[in-house]
Amino acid sequence: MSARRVFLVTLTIAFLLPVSLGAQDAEDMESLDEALRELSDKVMRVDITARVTSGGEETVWDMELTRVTISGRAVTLRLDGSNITVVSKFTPYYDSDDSVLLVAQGQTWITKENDSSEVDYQTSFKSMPVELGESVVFLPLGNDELKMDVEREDTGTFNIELEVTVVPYEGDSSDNSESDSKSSSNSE
Amino acid sequence: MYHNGEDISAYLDGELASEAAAELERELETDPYARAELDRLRTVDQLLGSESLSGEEGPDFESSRERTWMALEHRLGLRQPLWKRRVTLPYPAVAAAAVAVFVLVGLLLWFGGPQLGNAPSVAGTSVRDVDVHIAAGGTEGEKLLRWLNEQEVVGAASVELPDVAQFRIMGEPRLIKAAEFRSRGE
Repeated sequence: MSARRVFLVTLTIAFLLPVSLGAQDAEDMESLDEALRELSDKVMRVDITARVTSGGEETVWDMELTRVTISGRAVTLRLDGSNITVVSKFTPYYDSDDSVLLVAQGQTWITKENDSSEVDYQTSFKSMPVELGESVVFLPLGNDELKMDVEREDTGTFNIELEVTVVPYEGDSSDNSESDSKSSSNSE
Repeated sequence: MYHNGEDISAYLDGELASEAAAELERELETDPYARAELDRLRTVDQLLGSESLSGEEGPDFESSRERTWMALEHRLGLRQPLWKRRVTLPYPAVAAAAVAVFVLVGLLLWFGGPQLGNAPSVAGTSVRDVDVHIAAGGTEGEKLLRWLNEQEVVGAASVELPDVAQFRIMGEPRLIKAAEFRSRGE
């Protein structure tokens, strides 16, 4: 093959390849569009209301949080207090068209009131099938003793409640994937 | 005494003996034919570049030869037009030029082509809203979901609890339905 022929062939390939890549790019964009449309059907909104309650009933502080996620992807919430850190992960898995399996993972580090050098650690892994729109409550600290304290009228104990609701994502219900958190305090 | 053209030429070239040269000079003063011959030979000398022979630079034989050759080529029809000339290029140079052209065109398409910033909207939100940067390429729904799962695209939230509250563990963590939790509370 002469040098001239090699040159012409190479030049032709050099000019045609980007055109081919451009066509591939357009196909990719269509494929992406299709994938995103499919994805939009699988996106879920996870609404979380975190509450600090006193005596098991009175809400002294609460905060609302919204995250957008997809099946199998956890929404993580970290709560930091004066003597506690709670990391909770909520992972919804599509079970059917109108229900999900909600997995709640909790990790708690807590220091004792009188001894801050000693840290207790507790971890948990819970799951529950829930209907879309149905609320569940996750209690990372439990509430067994609280009932006893309430019975003893001990109102100086605070607990943490995380109310979680998984709903299908609708674009017009929230402008952003992460809504602004709202918190309020009723402790005064 | 009449001096012929050869004597005058020798005089012009400085080759005449001094006595003969003096005699010729005297004749040149009186003989208009001899002066005319001298002028003619000087003109020829100038035309042939004889003056430059005595100068610092030599004659430009190369350009003269080139001009002569071009004139011959043109006259004999040997000169080919530019597009008919055979060009010999080294393979590495051809390959390098092709790669350079390819890279340049690719860069132009890459930076000038459609960007994901104008990604299509999905149910009222766009890719940018959920802070997802997707490397498009043969994407399908499941692949995309898998890819999303591998990315830290869903942000974690961190919340500060009120300082006044002191907590303690009250039992095993629980996950219960809200309706059931409320009813137990009541």
